[in-house]
Amino acid sequence: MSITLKLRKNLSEPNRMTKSFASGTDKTYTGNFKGEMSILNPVFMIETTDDLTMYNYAEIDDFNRKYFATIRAVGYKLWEVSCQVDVISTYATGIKACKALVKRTQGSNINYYMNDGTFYTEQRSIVTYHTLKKGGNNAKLGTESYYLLVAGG
Amino acid sequence: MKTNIGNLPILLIELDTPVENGYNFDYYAGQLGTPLIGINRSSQNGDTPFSLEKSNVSYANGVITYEWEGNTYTKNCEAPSGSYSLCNNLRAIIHGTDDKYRVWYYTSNTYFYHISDVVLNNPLAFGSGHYVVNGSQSSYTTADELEKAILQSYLAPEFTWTSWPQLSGNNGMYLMDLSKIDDSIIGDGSTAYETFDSSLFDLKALTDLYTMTINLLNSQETTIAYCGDNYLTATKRTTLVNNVTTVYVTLKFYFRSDVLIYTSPELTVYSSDGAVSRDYLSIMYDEENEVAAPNIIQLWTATGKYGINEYSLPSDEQMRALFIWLQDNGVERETISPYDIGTTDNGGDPNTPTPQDHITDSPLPTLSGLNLGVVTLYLPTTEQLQSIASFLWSDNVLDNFKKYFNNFADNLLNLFVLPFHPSGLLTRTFKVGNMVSEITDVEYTTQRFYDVDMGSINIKKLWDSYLDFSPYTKIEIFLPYLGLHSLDIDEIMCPAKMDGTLQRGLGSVLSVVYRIDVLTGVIVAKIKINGEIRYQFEGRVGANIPLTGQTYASMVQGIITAGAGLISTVATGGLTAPLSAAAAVTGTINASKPTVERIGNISGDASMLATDVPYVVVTRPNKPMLEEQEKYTGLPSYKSGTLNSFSGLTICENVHVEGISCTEEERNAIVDWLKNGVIL
Repeated sequence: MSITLKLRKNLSEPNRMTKSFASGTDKTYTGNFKGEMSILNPVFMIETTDDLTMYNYAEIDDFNRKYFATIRAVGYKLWEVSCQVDVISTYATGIKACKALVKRTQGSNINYYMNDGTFYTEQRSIVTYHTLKKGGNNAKLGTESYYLLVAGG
Repeated sequence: MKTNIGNLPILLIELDTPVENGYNFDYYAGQLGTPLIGINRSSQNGDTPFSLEKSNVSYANGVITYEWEGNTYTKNCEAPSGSYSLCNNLRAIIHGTDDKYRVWYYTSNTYFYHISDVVLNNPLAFGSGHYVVNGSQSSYTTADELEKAILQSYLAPEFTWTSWPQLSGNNGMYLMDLSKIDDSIIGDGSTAYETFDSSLFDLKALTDLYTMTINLLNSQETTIAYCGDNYLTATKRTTLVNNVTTVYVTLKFYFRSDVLIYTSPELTVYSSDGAVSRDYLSIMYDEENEVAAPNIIQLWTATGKYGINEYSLPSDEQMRALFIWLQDNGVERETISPYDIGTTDNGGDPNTPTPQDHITDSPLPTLSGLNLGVVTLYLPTTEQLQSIASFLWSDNVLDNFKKYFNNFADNLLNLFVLPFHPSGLLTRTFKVGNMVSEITDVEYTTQRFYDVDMGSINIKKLWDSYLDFSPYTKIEIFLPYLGLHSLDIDEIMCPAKMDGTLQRGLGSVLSVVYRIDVLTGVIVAKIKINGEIRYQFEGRVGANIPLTGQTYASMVQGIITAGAGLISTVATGGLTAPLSAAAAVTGTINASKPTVERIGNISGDASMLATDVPYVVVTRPNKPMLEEQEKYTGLPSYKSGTLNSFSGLTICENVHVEGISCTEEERNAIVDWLKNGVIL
């Protein structure tokens, strides 16, 4: 069985669903199986004069999957490519259709009044004093006055 | 901005300035912070109530009845004299200061504008809250002149432009303070600005229009920034011609949610042939935050420095319309916000809230005992009191007292000082028992209880997050003669409306009314939140002056007793703390920060020596400014839905991975990734 392996230079974090790649650097290799091959963690041997040291991602259309790739030089012009399936990018469309209870997010659906310890606070507190105003001035009960209570009226 | 005139839940205003051409209107009634309702009198058409944004308005027998937000309100209006006819085009704005109000209205061809002090006038005649406006009125022949008059008289609001956080992971919540306008050019807002502040280094890559709109769907108008009810939207269009992809964006600016005041030309923000434009979105405002408008800045670089190549500006008319809106009371309402307002589908049904009741204030007690002739409460001046002393110690008077009483003190019941002097008192010749003196014009009162407005304050949010609530934010209020009291910051930040739902936006108006008994010095302070009574504390004020050895001994004993109370109060954590000493210690241990005793037992004689101004002490946490924290930690959500309704870094509490054809090992791996955080 012939299989086509595309090696790419991934520039994104591993947990980013839509990854970006260095443009114009993709390499494509075609070969045949010699024995059993894991679908989720395939390992390939590639004989090429290309420099594969900076490649870290692979796509195998025959397996309908995308992979994180670890490349090791095992001999002259001989490279071992160990792949581990990138489930987030491989199943991106299906994952977006899944329902979830989201604990934290970055875009919409944020509730800033939910206290999950997101925000950091300093030991310094802001203590401020504000007088109550009446007619633009500090409010007061009134002016002092004597009161004399006597018998009779 | 909440209206707060006189701290009254119902406001009645009478405009006593006649309006030309026979148009006249009399009484308005309105819930605080809402538009007004008015009653017009027409000699030809009968009494005709009108309303602004109220329903089921009716008038009968001097009572206005109307509905607002599901509640029914009534207000008494005594019929005025004279002839009145209908003014059916009233527009009114009540501004949020304690003693000023502004109202404007128009008839068929003339615009009117009032700005005036509000004067309480004869409250007993119309019920409390009836005001007569004695201020000046101006008329204008065009709406343009009226608008200028309004905008020139208003105070500057505080507002903040914030980017809409639903866009890409490159765009979170931040202030868009990118450029400033030369304030001297702005003037009163009626002229457009013409100059930039030269500092453009504040421009942030995040406000690159291409970055901001990268995740927008084509032809879908999406909000990308907001300020209160002001919104800025973007609509993207993408073309593919000769293998060149080009992205265009059109910006539209709305105020009051749906009034379109500005549409930008279609801007090219990306081209795959390399000709990428560097258009930046900027919110331009002046230094006093009086004026703000969106604008687009296109930068060029030369020798490493930025310069302005081109920028767009709204017109003068657009600016003025925006300015007027910013001065209105809608800025702080934020009726549309990204925050959860209580519509989650768990933990009860928020759609059927429990309406609450008004805690009605009691009228002043009428059985005062001062109008029976048994005793008389004089308010003498210092000079009159000196004369009274001479009179009382004359031989003639002492002889007469001995005929009727064993003890001289039986006639002089009390002499004390209160920091309060009622107005409008009657006067009479001083007499005690049946002895009439020659001291005339001594003020006296037959009214024992008085309500005194002790001011108000608008408590606002700071962080607009859970940090504005307890236990992070605390508030205390010092009430003169009553001491320091802790209040519930949660209720002040977000009080429930009368229909039981939480108010949108944070903050409320705190006001205080004292009810004082001038016979005993007892005070009950009523603290209101948005006009509703929420706290009542009692205390006592007054300094006694000994008349006899007996009253002096009684006074000293009272001070000793009060001192004992002071020691007890400190031990139990404050005047109001209903705790045992042991419980107070436990509470201190449990608190994140120690509770500080700012004041002891302030009441009675000692209260006269303390500060006489009410004030609040607000303790808030200090949050460091972290650039793009949401990119690294995410922000709290706790909402459920399909993941395509979330964006950026998303961490799931739980997720159902179904409908995906994959191995079970892969399915478990997907769950693990989503629980650890995935950038969608």
